[in-house]
Amino acid sequence: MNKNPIDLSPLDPTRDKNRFDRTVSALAQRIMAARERSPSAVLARAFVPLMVAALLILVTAAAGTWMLEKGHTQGAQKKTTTFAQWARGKSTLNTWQEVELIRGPK
Amino acid sequence: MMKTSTQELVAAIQAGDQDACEILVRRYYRPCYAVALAILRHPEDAEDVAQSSLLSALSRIDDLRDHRQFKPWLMKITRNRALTDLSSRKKTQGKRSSRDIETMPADHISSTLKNSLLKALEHLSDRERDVLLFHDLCNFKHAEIAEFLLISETNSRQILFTARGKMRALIESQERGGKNEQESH
Repeated sequence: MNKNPIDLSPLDPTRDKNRFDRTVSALAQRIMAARERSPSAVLARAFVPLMVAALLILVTAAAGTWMLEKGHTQGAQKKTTTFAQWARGKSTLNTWQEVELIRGPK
Repeated sequence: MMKTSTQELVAAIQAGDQDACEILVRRYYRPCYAVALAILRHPEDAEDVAQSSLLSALSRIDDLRDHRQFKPWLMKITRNRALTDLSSRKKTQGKRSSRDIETMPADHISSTLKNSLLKALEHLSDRERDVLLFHDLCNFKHAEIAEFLLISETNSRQILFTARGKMRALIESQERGGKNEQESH
């Protein structure tokens, strides 16, 4: 006899189908609305734009560094050529170039 | 394609699918209610806790790393909420919060049966009530009950057998008591 289940259907909240359907629908709406407001959902939505922005910053920074380094190298080469020509007596130095020559390499 | 597995449904909810949310709520509403009812022993309060637990769990589903753990995670949330509700109710000396009229049971015809079952459930031990509600109300398998309650499957079967015997005896004695009362009037 105890192998047969007890009829607990009077306690079943899903027994009244219409009421249960309304409860489920209202609850699902509340859940989705709460999800929209949750910090993780906001972060998930912002993830792609944030990643694109971070990538752009990285590319810009890398390009800037490369250009600066290139400018420094070209400037140094130009100075060396100027000083070499002055040493051979082929040209003269202006005041700033003389100061740089006295100060020596950094 | 029809989404059936919990993992698929969770992924769909994360993508903003409300239909998937409804399917998952339908699937886990009764188990949550049974967990809460076993602790609170009051159907309306148990429904409140089931709803708030589903709302809380599914709103922060992104926190759950392994979606296969959804069911035990949800059951744990429900159990904790029911215990909190029970202790706060004890503090306020049984005063219940105001409830949404929509969640009130519509069928008054079964209220006598319902009360009879609730009274009988009161006389079971916590473990007996858990096993009986999970098995006979939620149709959980003994393996699932054993995993959730941290007992063996054999133990779950034994507890169910005892709980059913007690329930039948209690309901019969209530019915006899009711008949005697009617005859004396």
